[in-house]
Amino acid sequence: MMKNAIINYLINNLNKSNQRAEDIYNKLSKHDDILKEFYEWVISGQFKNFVVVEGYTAQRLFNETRLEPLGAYNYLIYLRENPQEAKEMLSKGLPKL
Amino acid sequence: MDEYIVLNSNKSFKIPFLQGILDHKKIDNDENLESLLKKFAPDKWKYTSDSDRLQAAIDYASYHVNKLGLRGQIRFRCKPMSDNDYGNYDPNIKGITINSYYMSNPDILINTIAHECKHAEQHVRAMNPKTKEDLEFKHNVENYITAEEDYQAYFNQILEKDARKYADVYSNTYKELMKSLGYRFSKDNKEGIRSKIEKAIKQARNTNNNHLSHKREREER
Repeated sequence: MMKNAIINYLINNLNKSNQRAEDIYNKLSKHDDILKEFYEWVISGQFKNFVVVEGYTAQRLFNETRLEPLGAYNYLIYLRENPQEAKEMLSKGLPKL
Repeated sequence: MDEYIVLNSNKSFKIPFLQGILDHKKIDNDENLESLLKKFAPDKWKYTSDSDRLQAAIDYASYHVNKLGLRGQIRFRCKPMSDNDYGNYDPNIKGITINSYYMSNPDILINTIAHECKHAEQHVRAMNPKTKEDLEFKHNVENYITAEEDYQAYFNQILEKDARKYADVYSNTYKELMKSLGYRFSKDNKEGIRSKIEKAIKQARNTNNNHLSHKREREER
């Protein structure tokens, strides 16, 4: 049910292809707590702030950076897997070329 | 569309040493690139008018258009963009946009223009793939990941890595050239505007707090 809801959201709301939606889901699913909180966001549209990584919640990332909600949850993964680099990017303001 | 300046990649733009040469190692010896980059020297740049800055940026972008063998026309413009957006390339109109804020920062400008021109080349190659790399570009163009949806994946996708690699050659060439002319570069040149503003605000707050605490101390005495 959780997977279906997320995949449907990615395809129908974010216009992702089936393959891209699967890839996004697979990345999120490696971190159960982040996946669950993203699912909560998909069904309620609200950040629950259960998950805190290096002092950041998805809501804080969403509010303070260019990141979309999906991007905020993906960034929690980045912060968990590579905290030093992820924090350095944040300090640079997530530059985009 | 009208606000774009058109860069022509025709033969009338003469860069004899670099026409068609794709070997980055030869850049160090190229006098034309050197003269283009010298226009971006920090002390000169500070006193260069906006129109001359734009012209220098156009000349430098035209150099890349030629070097990368781009046929047809590439549009170029500077305009205000969001914080920390240095620039972008829009393949639909073949247009490069540079954040006008960074027109005052030659170091970032050199890198951004090269980066966006490389994106233009990648899109041309993706449209008519001939090599394995072209096919990889095509696949990435069709499955492009935006910074907003997954910053880590955005940063590490092949189109961005390739454009950074290309642009870094010019950034390094520029820095080496400037160093040889006696300039020094601080590491925080690429620090985002927002973090600089946050730092400035914190500093101002601290100064203000110190000022208030001194004031209180004086009043208590």
